[in-house]
Amino acid sequence: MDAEMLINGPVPGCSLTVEPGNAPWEQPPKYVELADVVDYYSDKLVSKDSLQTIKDAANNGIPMTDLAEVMLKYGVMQGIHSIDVGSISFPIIVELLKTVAEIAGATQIAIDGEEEELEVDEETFRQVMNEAKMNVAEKASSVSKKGLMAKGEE
Amino acid sequence: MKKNYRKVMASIEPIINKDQSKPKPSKTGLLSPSSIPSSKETKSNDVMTQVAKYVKAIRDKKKEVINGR
Repeated sequence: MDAEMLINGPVPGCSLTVEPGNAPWEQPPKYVELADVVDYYSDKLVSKDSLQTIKDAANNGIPMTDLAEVMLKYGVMQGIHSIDVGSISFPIIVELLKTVAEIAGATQIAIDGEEEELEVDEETFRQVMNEAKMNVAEKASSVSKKGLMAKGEE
Repeated sequence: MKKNYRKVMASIEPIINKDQSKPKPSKTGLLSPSSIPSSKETKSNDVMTQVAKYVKAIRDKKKEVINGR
């Protein structure tokens, strides 16, 4: 483990120094309705600072689902909403982030960072593989044998 | 949350598209109905429908903003 990381980390038992039940996520959440949570995030995301931040994040290839997940987890940690209403609002927040990035003029928008699987039918796959094999065989036969250990002409 | 995103969206998309494919009445008079009422139509207020409504509203707003530029 990195020595610097050990120094910067919390002291063992640090989590037990505060009275249990006082953390924000241990309190009743501020919003419990889907409409309230969506309102809260839409207000936050439409501000001028957010536009630029989301645009930069999208241009740097950060998936919108990752952004939404971080935002919702932070919301739960701060006691703004519960985790279940956060999970329900997840697709809405992703859609909102996509829209904001698009309107802000992001050049690329990654949604979930997973590439689409290319579906090729079996027949095409076999055809391509046979062509590739034939190409390799042709190249191998065309390479002139001039090496030190090459066979002499028959 | 992230893992199930595609699955959730796959179940939301048909709900969004269902609303768009509704036939509109041909009459445009003042007293003409705004939509053709169907007997099968039932009001569902489950979570997926609510989420679909929000997603549709966001998409509509985006279209408006982009077309208004």
